[in-house]
Amino acid sequence: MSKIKSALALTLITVVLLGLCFMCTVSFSYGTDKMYTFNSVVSMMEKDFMLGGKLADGVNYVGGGYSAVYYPEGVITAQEYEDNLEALETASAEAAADKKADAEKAVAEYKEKYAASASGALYYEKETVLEDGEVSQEFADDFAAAAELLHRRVEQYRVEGMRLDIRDDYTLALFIPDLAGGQAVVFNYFATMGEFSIAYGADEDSAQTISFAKGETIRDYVKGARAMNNGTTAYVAISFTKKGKSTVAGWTSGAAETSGNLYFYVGEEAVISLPVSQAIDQSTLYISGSYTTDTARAVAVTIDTAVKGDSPAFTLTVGDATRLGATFGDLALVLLYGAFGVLFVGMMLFFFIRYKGLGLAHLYTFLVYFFPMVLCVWAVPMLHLGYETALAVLFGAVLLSVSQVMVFETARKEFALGKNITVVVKTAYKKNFWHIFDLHIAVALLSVVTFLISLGALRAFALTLTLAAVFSGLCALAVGRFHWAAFMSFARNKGKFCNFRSEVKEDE
Amino acid sequence: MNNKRSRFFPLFLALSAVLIIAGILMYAFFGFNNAPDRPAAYALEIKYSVVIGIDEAQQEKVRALAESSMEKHGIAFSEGVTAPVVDSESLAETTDTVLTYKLGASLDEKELAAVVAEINAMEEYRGARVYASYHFLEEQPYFEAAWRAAVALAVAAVVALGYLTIRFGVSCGVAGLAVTAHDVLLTLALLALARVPVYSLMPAVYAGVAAFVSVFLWMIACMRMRETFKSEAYASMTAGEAVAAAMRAALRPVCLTALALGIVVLVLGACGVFGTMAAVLPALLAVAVPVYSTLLIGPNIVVPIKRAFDRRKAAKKGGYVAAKKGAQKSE
Repeated sequence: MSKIKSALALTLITVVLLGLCFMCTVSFSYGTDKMYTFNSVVSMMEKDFMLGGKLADGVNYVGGGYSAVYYPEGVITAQEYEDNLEALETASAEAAADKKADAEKAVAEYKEKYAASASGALYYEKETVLEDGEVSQEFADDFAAAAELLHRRVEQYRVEGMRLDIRDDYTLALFIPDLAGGQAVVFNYFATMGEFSIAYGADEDSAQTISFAKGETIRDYVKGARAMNNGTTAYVAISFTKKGKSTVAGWTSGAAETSGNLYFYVGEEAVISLPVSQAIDQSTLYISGSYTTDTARAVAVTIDTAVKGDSPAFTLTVGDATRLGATFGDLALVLLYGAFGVLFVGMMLFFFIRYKGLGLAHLYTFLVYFFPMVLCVWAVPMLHLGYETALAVLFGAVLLSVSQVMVFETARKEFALGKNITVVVKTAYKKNFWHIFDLHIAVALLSVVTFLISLGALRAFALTLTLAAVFSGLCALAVGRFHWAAFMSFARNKGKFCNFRSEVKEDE
Repeated sequence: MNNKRSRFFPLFLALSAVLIIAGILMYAFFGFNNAPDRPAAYALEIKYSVVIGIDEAQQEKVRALAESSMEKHGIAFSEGVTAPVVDSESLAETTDTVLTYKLGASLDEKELAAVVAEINAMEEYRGARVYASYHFLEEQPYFEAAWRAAVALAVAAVVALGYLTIRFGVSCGVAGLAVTAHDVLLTLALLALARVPVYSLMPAVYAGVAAFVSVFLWMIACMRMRETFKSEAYASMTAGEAVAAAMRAALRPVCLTALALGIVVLVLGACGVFGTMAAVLPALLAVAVPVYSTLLIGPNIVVPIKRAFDRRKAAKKGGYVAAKKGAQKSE
C-alpha cells in the first residue's frame, strides 16, 4: 500500500473512529439555559437493574426498579388499621354529645372487626379471613392459588430480574426492574384474577356472555393470547378454537348494521373492550389500540394465564409502590466503565510493548470491533448493559486479541527466517486463516444456538457473544490486516516497526 | 501418552465424577447458595408518613435510633436503603419515604418487635409520624430459565462440536463434547459444593462462560494437534506420543489465553462493590475448570479414539497393498 493511500485511509478511519467515540461516550447540554441535551449512546443504553447511577443530565437515575405489595381482600397493613382507628377515635372524641354513643360504637365495631397477625404487620378482617381465630383453610387455599397464578404470570412475562415474594404469609411483593417499562400497568393487570370470559353487546350491562354447555370451559372457545409487534405497533393476539370463532362470528354478524362491543373479562374486570363495526370471522383476533410493547405483553400474559390455568376469583389490591435503587449501588455503573478502562490500558500496554508499532494497528482494529459492539448493545432491543453483556463484549475482545497474537507470532517466526515483510504478512495470515475462522465459527455456533433456546441473562450473554464473534472474526481476518498494511507503509524499517528480528541477517 | 497425564487420567476422571455427582446431590437438596438475593429474610421497614417533610437531621435521628436499637437487641443488619414511595397507578412520587434494613433469615421475632416498638415510640416531628414494621419475605423461585439453559447449552455444545468433528476429526469432536459437558457440570457442581454465594440469575451465565471457555481452549489444543498430526515427525510416533507432543506445544497458548480470560473476569469483578464481586468473581471457576480439562482430560480421550482410527487406517492401507500385491502375482 502506498504512503498516500495509507495516509488517506487512516485519516478517514481516524475521523470515523473519533466520531463514533464522541457519539458513544460524550454527553453534554447546550442551548439557552442548557435546555437541550446531547445524550451519548452509552448513556441512552438500557442498563441492568443491578447497576445504578445518575445519567449525564444529573437528574435521571438508572437501575433498580419498582416494588409493590398486593393485599388480598380482608387484609390490611397495621399502619392502615392504626390510622383508621385513630381517625375514628378522634371523631369519637370530638363528636357532639348526642352522637358520641354512635361514634364510640363505631370505634368498638372497628376494633372487633379486625385481628392482628402473629407478627403484628398485618390486620385480618375476621369475617373474611379468620375461622376460630386462625386463618381459614379456604382463605389460605385461595391465597396459595392466587400466588401461584401471579408466579406463572411473572415467569411468562420473562423480564430478567423480576421477583415475586410472599410477604408476611398472606401478602405478595412484586419487584419489576426499571428496564422493563410499563410497571404500573403490569402491577395492576397482574392483580386481575378470576375466570376468563368473552361478552358481546351494546354496553357492558347488556352484553351477552358465552354460555358454556355441560362440561365445557373457556378453553373450548379460546386457545390463548400472545403479544406481537409490527414495527412500532404492539398487538394483543387472541386465538380462538373453531367453536370460539363461530360463536364470535355469530355474535358480530350484524355488526355492520348495528355496531357493538366485544368485551374480554378476567374475573369482573374488562381487560379489553373492543368496538366492533364489522363481522369478526377469524381464528386470531389482533387488537392494537394504545398498547406499548410492555402493556401489550402484560395484557396478553394476564389473559393467557387466565385461559390456560386455574384463575381463582380472588381480589388482590395493589398497595403503594416504592422506587428501589440499584442492587449494586449508585457507583456500580462508573466502576464498570472503570473496569473497561483498566482492561483496555492493560491490553494496549501488552501490544505496544511486545509489538511496538503493530500496537497501533491492533488499537485501530480493536476500536473497529468495540464501537459497533457498543452500538449493538444500545440498538438491539433484547440487550442491555449488564455484567453478562460486559463479559461477552470483553470475551470477544480476548478472542480478537488472541487471533491477532496468533498472526503476529507466526509473522515473527517467519520474519526471523529472513523473509521479506510482505511475504511474512501474507504467510502469517495464510497459515492462521483457518485457525481463526474455525475458532470464531465454533464460538458463534455455540452462542447462537444458546441464544435461540435460553432465557434471561444467559440469552443476553449468548446474543452479545454471537455479535462479538462475528465482529471479532471480521476484524481479525480483514480489518487487522488492512490496518497492519496501512501503518507499516510509513515505517522505514518494517521489522523494527513490528518489533521483529531477522535471525538470518544477524548471522550474516 | 506415556506420561503422568495419562497415568493419572483415571484419577482425574474419578475426581471429576465424584465432584460432579456430589455437586448434583448438593444442588438437588440445597440448590445454589443464593445468599446475595436473600431468598428468605426479614426486613425492617421504617416509613416516614410525612405531611410537612422530615428534614435530613431528623432522618439521621431515625436512622441512628433504628441502628442503635437493632445493635442493642443483637440484630445484624445491612446498610439502610431509603426509597421514595410512589403511586402504583402513575408511579408518581408521594411525599413518603421508606427506609429499609435487610436482616437475616432466622431472628427472634420478640427482639424485632421490641425494635419496632422503640422506633414507633418516637415523638411526632412537625406533625410527621415515623412508622416501623418488620416483614418476612420469601422469594418464589423460577425453574424455566434453568432448564432452558441446560437444554440450550447441551444442544449448542453438540452443534459447535459437530463443526469441530467435521474440521478436526472424530477424536477431537468427541473429546471436545466430553470436555465441554464436563466443564459446565463441574463448574456448577463446584459452585454448589463450595456454597459460593451467587445471584440466582447468574449460574446460567457461569455455565455459558464455562462452555465458551471450554470450546475456545479446546479449539487451540485441536489446532496444535492438527499441526502435529500433519508433520512428518508424526509418521514415526504413536497416537499417544503425537497427542503428548501436541499438548506440549498447546500448553503455553492455552494457559496464556486462560490467563487473559481470567484477568478480564478478575478486573471486572474487582472494580466494584461487594455485590459486583459476588456476581462476577465466581466466573473465575468457569475459566479455571476448562484449563484443567483441556490439559488433563481431553487429550486422554483423544488418544484411544485416534489409536483406533490409526489402526483402521493402517489395516485398510495394508489390505489394499496386499490385494495389489496379490493381483500383481496373479498377472
